[in-house]
Amino acid sequence: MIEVGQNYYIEMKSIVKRFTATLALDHVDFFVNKGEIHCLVGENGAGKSTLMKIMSGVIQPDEGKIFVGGTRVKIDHPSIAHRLSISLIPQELNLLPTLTVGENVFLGLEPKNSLGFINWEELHRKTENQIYQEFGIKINSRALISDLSVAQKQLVMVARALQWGSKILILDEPTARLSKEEIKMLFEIVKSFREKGGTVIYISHHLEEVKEIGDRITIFRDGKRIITEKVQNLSLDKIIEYMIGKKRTTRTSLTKLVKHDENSKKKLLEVRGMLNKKVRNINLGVYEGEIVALAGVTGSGRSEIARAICGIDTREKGEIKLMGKKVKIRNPVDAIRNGIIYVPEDRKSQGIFLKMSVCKNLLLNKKTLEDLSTLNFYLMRVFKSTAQKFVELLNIVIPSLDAPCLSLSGGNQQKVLLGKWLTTNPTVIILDEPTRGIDVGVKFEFYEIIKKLAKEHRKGIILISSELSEIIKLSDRILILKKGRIVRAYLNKNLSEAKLLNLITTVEVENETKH
Amino acid sequence: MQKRKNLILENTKIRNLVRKYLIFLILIVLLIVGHLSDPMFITLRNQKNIMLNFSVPFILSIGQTMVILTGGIDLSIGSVVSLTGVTLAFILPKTGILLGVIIVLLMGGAIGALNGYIISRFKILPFLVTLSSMIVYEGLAFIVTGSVPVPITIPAFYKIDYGSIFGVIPLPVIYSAITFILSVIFLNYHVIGRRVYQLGNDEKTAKLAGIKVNRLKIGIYMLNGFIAAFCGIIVASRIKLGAPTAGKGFLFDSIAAVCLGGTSLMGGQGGVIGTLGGMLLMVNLKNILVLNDVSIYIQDAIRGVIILISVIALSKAR
Amino acid sequence: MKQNIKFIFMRLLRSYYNIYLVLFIIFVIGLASHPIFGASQNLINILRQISILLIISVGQNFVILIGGIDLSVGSVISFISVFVVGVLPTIGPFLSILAGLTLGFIIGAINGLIIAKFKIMPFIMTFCSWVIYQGLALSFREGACMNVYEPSYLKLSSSYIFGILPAPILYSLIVFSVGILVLSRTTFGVRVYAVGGNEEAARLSGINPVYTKIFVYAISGFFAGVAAVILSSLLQIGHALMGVGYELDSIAAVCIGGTPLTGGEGSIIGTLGGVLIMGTIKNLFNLHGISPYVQQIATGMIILIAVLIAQKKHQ
Repeated sequence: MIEVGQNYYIEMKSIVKRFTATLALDHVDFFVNKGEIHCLVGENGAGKSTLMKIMSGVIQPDEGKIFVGGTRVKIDHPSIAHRLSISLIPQELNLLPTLTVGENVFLGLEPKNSLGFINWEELHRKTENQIYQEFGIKINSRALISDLSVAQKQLVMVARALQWGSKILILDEPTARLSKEEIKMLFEIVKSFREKGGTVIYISHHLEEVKEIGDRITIFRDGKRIITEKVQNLSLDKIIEYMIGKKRTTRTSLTKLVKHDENSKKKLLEVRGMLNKKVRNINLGVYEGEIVALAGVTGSGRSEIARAICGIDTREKGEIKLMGKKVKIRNPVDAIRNGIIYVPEDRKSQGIFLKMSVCKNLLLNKKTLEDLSTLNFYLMRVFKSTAQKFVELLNIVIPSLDAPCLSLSGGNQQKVLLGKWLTTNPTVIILDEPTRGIDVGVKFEFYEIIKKLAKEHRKGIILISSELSEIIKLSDRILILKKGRIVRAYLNKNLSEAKLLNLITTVEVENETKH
Repeated sequence: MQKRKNLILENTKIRNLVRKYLIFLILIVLLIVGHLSDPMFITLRNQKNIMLNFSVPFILSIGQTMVILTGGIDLSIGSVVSLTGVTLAFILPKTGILLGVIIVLLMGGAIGALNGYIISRFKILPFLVTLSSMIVYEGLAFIVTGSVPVPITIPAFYKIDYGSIFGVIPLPVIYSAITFILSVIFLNYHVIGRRVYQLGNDEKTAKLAGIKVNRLKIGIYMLNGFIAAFCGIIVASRIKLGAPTAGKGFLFDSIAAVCLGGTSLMGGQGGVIGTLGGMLLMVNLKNILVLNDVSIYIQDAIRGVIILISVIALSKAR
Repeated sequence: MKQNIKFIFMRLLRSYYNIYLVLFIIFVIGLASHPIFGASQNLINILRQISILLIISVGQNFVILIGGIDLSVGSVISFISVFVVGVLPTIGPFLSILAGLTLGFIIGAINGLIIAKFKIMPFIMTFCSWVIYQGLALSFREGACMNVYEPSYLKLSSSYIFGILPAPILYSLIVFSVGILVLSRTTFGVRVYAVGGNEEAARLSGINPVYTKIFVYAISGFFAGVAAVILSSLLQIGHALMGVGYELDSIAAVCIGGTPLTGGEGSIIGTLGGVLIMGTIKNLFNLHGISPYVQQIATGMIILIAVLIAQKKHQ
């Protein structure tokens, strides 16, 4: 609980933010102390990133007030946030790649004389000194950003924030791409920053990190702040319970998978030893009529596995068998022709052609186009009748087959995307965040469709989703991913969301097992 | 605080230097080839000959470098050169040299600023806007002169191009040297010059850091307009005419020198030193071809091929 | 079936009505301002003069739809005209025309290959092509005019259909129809719009953007070859400056016709409107004795205005 009467450094009161259909933040109060490491935790879409974007001036709230040091402020632009000593270090680090470390650190604050000429000596010297003093690390300020590792780039961003005199650092998922040593180093930096009186707001999905480094923790759920408490007062299970919001028994009987039932069911897909830059040693199989879920936090490699299987990203090693036969999948066409399809997670940038008609979108993949045409010529009549079939099958609400996809709602766009892939009559379907950004009603329609595809049409389905309830509702088997590896596998029997979240956020990378 | 293990970053300086100055290595190779093909090549007289036609294209390519560094391009410079000369031919008798020069410089700046304004305010591709400008201002030059070059009959004006320091160094060489030095200082040591690089690298990040991106764009295009007008003055002084075709042919060379010099067309990377190398390469190449009696048209074709190869090579290196 | 066609036509017209409205207004101004304008001979003249531009603009439209641009078409026309006329006496009209068209296709394919495989910006690549092929064209006989003496070759452009319609108009209509057919009735056309609209999504859908791009540029080159043959037959010469200006004019026509330079949308019907507008304005200016350079200025400003309007429509 929040102690009343404390003098808070930053207070956000009753913040409301709406994004067209959704209420991202619902009258959220948020209080931060000086000299603390405050962790923000919550599922995807719970509101933590949105709130921090508001605090750092990237977006503006619809309602609510912000106070810094007791004074009311309006943070209209990131530069105002900087003046208030607030710096956001986002996941997509915004640095200037072809320029030097020093220039990035001093961006906008270059030491110059009255005529505007930069004193490079001073700039680079100050950069190296500052980084050495704050972090104990020797760095070459004249190195180019493009030559740095992710951890080093983060360091530069923190250095820049310090240069701006920031007293509050907001770190958004900083450890997503760091190694164990680099995470340790980051913790050292964060702790020393706190010792000097700075405040760190730490957004993370990795609950064990939160437990290790946090002073206080605020948990978000569905756009609301649920609780703020000292980290030491909450157990991991309690944290998860607050994140999920249901008091499901955490004592579930887990059936850890060791060997799968290889009876009369056909094995549709088998992947062995798959390896590339982003995923390692992937072994998995999908049986007829089965829904296998890939669960993990952002950056754990779920989409990367799908992309590697379907030939979108290159594979360095690995063998894929379809219905027992080895197949060569080197590009998306191979995958489609072999009956494996991938429905991408970002329909706007990867799936749908917004300006083209619904009809064309439904048929726009190499195989379907070929099937429905002779020598490249097609009859609109044939196109339309095929498209109409899938419109009815998936119950897509459209003004007409010629309407541009742009004019459809998110849910219907997603249906068109799914429909397009179904027209190829696939054997294995990989769905990546199939219900993201869709209204509840359409969501349930999707669940029915997905179940039907598996149970009635006997397809094999791999489901990638960040929504735990979805995974639990739909999947037969769940594979847990962490840092590009499959670490555990479970049968979906009596699994609670709480337990699933626990597994995703805390499982260590152990020895890989065959799943 | 406990001393961390020292994370000394590798000295990638050498690799970056090579990337930056590859063009000069190629230039040296070319000079050797040139000497082998014709011993006349490396003589002082020949090199002087080469440099005579170097200044104006070089100065133009310096301006183009800055525009390309912001991620844009300026196709209108040739037309500005022509229009400047044509304007001078008309106004010089009435305004005298000093005022006339000032007026056309301002005119060039205004044209550039207009380009920059349309680009930044309406967010139209620089390629399209400056293409439009190129067509419009060239047409204007033709209309004003009735497509017939207008003679400039003020002898003092000729000195702008013909004059020399100590009787030895031609003034145009001085102009290009000064422009070069100023631009190097500007782009590497002045904060606004650095903003050019920052903008070209990532416009969004620059904006977040509080950099006034639109103003910067207008400024750079305006500067390029000045430079083009300046070159227009030199050209008019050299040919002693205001000719509507005076600026033809400069555009391709300016872009070519920039590309050869390693400046990326996406912006944010490269610089005028590379452009110097690129321009030196082109003029020497031209000279070698001339000395070897290659037809001027084949020269054009070869220039095109070389630019193409270098652009491909540069994009591979990235 | 007939009703279907009529329906499609009406729908297309509705999307491009503003361009054709502008054309109509210009037409009315023309009729009112000059007595000769409305004469059938003048109108036929306009159509004949725009026929080459129409052919080139169809090719340019393909390229722009895929998100690129082709600055080399003008010099490719010049190059091929010189080439075809050069080999004409040796191998006869049929073979030389075939060679010219094939050459155009190959040149375009090379453009497309370098752009797609090496990921070079189309603007810079075709700019280099522009310079290269212009130089090569001029180097044939030092840019001298080459006369055509072969009567069957000359007949290509000088004959009249039904006695009144000059052949080039028919050729341009054929090219235009082929263009529309390909873009709206073939899966290749669907793929062009797909790659231009969202290249990543197209790639994920199994479409190979590289092949599509190469073919599109090859089409543009091919049409440049067609234009070269028709032009050299019409003007009875092969000349290294024959194609000058067509690249800019075709870009202007496509812009005016409402196809955005970003690709993925737009239609050749709009481009036809753009070509007609440019041709009519040119004709009017000529009739009124207005200098071609004023036309040039007008073209430059029209491009800008057309792009501004198209942008406003999108926002």
